[in-house]
Amino acid sequence: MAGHKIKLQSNDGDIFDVEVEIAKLSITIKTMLEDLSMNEEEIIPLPNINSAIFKKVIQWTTHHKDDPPLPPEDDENREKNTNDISSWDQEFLKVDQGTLFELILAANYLDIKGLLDVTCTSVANMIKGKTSEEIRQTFNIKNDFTPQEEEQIKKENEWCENK
Amino acid sequence: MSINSIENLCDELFYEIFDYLNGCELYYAFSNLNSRFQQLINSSSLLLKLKLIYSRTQEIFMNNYQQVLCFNKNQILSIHLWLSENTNQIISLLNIDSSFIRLESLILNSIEPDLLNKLLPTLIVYLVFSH
Repeated sequence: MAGHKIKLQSNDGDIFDVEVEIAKLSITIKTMLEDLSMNEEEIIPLPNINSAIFKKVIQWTTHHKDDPPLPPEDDENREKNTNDISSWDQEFLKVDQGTLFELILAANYLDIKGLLDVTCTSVANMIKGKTSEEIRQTFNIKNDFTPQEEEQIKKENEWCENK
Repeated sequence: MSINSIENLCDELFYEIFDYLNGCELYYAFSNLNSRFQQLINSSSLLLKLKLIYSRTQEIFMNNYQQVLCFNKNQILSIHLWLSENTNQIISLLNIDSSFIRLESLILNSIEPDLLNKLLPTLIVYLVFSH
């Protein structure tokens, strides 16, 4: 039923008309529509997503609506490649850190594997090759170790290095 | 739902992200940052894939490799080593024993026959157990 639309409501009250086929890229929404027999006339609330992030999600799913389905992850050893980001996705992910983290949360909540993969890959690329101190600065991570805990960690590391 | 810090992500989402990084890289980036990350990288729920290419700065490489092999044996899912110079040092640390309870894959590229002969007897015991 291409072109058939449903109404989805973000947590700040905005209502979005989204093509059913695009909305169903979200397994969460697909389940609501199919298993819970939700009426397509009903407004489906998305309590965990604000309109700014949902607009980005719709933009991503619209662009990727004809992608082939992702293979199932049945091999934990499978190499995950951090170079697998298309140029369109790279452009799409040129956002501030807060937006990137909210996209990860939205992809996880809506169960959109492709979006979750690409956003996690993007964060992994920000981490790659950085020292702890660079990670601390990049992500503004506070050190909450007590002096005693720091001493303990230092001792363990020395013990390991001397082993 | 509004977050502005990576620390607001739940553990499961960190595992998703960490899945793209190899164990040494993870240690290099997240060890000694704060108590939450220390707990996260040492959690038995986090499986580590060690992919070691002996071409980076030796000190960084060895320190993180040592750390992971020393403290995180029970989290290691796979080890893939490209051996070149200083192989003895790397192999001497690779003491596979029953602590490697999650290890499913061990790949050694360019290993010298003598070294392989030394390593095989210990590995065969665990190969037998895996069948």
